[in-house]
Amino acid sequence: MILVAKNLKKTYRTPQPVEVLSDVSLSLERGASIAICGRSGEGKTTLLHILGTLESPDSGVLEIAGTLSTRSLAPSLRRRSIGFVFQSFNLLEDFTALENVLMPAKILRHFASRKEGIELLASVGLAHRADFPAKLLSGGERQRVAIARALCNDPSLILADEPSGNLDAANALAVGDLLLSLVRERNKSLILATHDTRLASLCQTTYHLAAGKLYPIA
Amino acid sequence: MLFELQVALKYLIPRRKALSTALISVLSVLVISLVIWLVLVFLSVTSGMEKNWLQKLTSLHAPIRIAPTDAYYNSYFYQVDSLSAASNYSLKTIGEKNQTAASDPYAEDTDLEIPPYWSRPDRLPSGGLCDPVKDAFRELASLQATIPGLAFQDYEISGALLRIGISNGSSLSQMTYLLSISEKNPNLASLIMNAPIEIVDTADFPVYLPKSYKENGVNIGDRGTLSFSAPSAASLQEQRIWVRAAGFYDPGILAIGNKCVLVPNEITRSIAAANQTISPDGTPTNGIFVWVKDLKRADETASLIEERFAAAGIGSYWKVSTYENFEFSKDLLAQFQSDRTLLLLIASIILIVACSNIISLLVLLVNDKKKEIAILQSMGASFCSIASIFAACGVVMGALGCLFGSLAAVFTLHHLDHLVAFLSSLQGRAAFNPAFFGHSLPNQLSGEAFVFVLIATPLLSLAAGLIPALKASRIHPSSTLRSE
Repeated sequence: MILVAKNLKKTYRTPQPVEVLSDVSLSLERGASIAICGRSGEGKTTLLHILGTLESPDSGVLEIAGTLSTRSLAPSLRRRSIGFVFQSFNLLEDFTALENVLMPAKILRHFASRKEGIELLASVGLAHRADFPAKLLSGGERQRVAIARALCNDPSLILADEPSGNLDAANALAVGDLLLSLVRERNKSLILATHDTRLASLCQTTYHLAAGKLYPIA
Repeated sequence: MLFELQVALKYLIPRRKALSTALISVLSVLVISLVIWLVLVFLSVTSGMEKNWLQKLTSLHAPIRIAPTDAYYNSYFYQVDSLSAASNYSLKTIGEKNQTAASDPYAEDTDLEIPPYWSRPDRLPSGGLCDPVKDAFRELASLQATIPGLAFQDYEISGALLRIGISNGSSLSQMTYLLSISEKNPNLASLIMNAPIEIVDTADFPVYLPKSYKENGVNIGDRGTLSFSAPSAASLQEQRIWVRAAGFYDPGILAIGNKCVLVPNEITRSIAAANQTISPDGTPTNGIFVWVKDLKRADETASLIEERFAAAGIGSYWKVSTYENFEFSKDLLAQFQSDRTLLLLIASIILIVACSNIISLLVLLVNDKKKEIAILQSMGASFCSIASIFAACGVVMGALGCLFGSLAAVFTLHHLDHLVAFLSSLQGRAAFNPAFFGHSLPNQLSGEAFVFVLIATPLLSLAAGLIPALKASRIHPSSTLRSE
């Protein structure tokens, strides 16, 4: 199993206590893909952040790639086993596309050559934009760079939070398809939070998050 | 390159979009540079002045002085000459003692009886008299093998009235202190302001006068007398020794400098045999000067001499002191030491104030880069890595300030004379009094000052970077990414 989550609970205490996740359990095998759908504010991003160790659950157990997630191990798990794709791209604006793609390798203290970076960019069709500053790229290009960056350290798990949410219809379609094809091609596990039913339908399993619980959709 | 350093450098490069941050960043580096420049120039000049003064203080008087103690003057060894016909019934100086063949000149059969209140002779196991003078010179000679550049010679001080004729027919009279010329003084050549000349008239003793005599009209070759009174059977009689000005020397800042004449030791011995002289600045009138190449090793050498003397059994006869304890220099040197400590303290405070600018800049930067910090955290950057980015920012800014400030200081010191001339022209008089500061200010970059800024600046800027670094490392990635 790449990911095992058991009885995850999360309540935001300010300004009023709001139970976002109540007893969420989830498991994911290598190469499997899961889509999590739900209305805005239901806790999709919170769940993804907890699964990605960016946030701690109030209770519950999370195991990623065979390692129990703790506060001290979280950065190491993110470096080695998790790749994020965010709705708002979250590229480092002061860096070029290539520097953004290679940044996870630098953080891991793993030497990645320019050639490897260009190959990753080529896999998302942006080899020609390698030396472009991130801030000069279009929305679609930025998200493709973000996908390439998420794949940089060859993580076993990709977490994508509304990857097409900030894109126009054409780009949303292209980026969604690209993400899923790369994940399948490289045998990665994917958890995708999305409103896009077409994109969700491309995943092997779809869950609906409502009232803090996950419901499988047939 | 480490990713922390790469990110830090990206953040430090001024950008048009972040004009306020860029401006504060440039100003911070500029302030640190200015402080470094000021500290380096000021400390270099004061340290150079201290060195010059120290050089002057130890040129005439050696940095180490070995003076006889009361035990020496009360000893049988010293007093026995006054009863011995072989010693002409007169007390001997250290130089004379070293030159006599017999340590004990007393002849029991012919000389007067030794008073019972004298201290007992310090005898060796062999029965011979302990000779603290010859032993001292022997120990010093053996030290020369272990301390290269060590030189030593006995000195004598006495006093007389100098009356010297000058070319316009008048004469100059002054009570003078006479210091025997130390030929072995390695600084002697640099003290004498003229090339050595031969005194053809062998009846006259050559003497070296302080440079103030030259300023008062005395010329090389001018003739004069040294008058002193000598007791005779009935009364005191005036004695005269003819001398000739062989040259002039720079006495430096010695309190009695303008009254101190360098003379051959035949003169000091003649006068000392006739009457006692007391040095006004507390310098013992007879002793041994020891010169070392490196003044910083004076204390170490003095301790070694004391150890050797103690081992030779003559430790109680001698007091070894260094320039730091000389009566005429200790207050001045203590003041220099206090000044330097005070300057370093002020420099540290100014440097802390300058480096604290870095804190405000980096706090601004952390607030500006919150989202990027959260992104880096999402990629697995640890708290330490995030803190290191901002600590590195601080160190880089400190290092840049250090570099620019040092370059500016080197440039200023190189052109210090022009700067002083400019300041003097602005004031309409000499900006720095030559009597105190010398004809030109020292312009050598002080190694100590440079090491101080080289260590203090990066450390202080690192400390300044730590507060923003801690703030950055505490950013919560999840909430930051949501709010952005």
